[in-house]
Amino acid sequence: MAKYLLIETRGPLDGGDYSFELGRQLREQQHDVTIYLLQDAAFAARTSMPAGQRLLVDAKKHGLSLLADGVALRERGIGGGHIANDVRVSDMNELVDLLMERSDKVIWH
Amino acid sequence: MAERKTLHITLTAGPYGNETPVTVFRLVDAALSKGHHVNVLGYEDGVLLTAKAQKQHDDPIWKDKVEHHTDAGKAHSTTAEFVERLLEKGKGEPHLNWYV
Repeated sequence: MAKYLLIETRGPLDGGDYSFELGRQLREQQHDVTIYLLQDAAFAARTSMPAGQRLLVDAKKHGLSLLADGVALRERGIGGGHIANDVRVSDMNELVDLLMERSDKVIWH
Repeated sequence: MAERKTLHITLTAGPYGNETPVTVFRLVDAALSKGHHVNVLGYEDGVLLTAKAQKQHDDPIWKDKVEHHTDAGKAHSTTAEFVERLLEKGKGEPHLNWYV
């Protein structure tokens, strides 16, 4: 079992489902998967976006860990009660740790 | 700390086309702060990020406010200036190499 870090930068309506689909397939092979939502991918963390919510429901069902970049959220006005419960707000320090220490393989999309 | 690791990044995005350069600047800054060496390769449009010919530009909307003009030193930094600051931060240990 490998630890995968999938960094998604695209919004849910712009190909940002890629990491969720890849993550689902990796989970089916028993790998550990963390998706870091960066740039427009942060929209997937917004509770009022149906396309993002579908991804989050599927991610929870398959056991994907979800982090969202705090700056990307703030830049898009997504905060407080508008962040989905299954998403944890993160930052560049944690992303560096994930890249350098806590992951076996990293894919940036 | 133990033996330093090195983060390698290939960056193909040019200035102002999308959010990726700023994301990479933030990532490089954090990696240096955490003690990692960093190598960045600017490739394709990414070579333009370090072009010294870039000039700061005024805020395009608040033209009547002096604090938003380049003469007041509050205008938008160029990508070359961001890289310059990162290179200053990474001139020792940990070290930043920026290739084009």
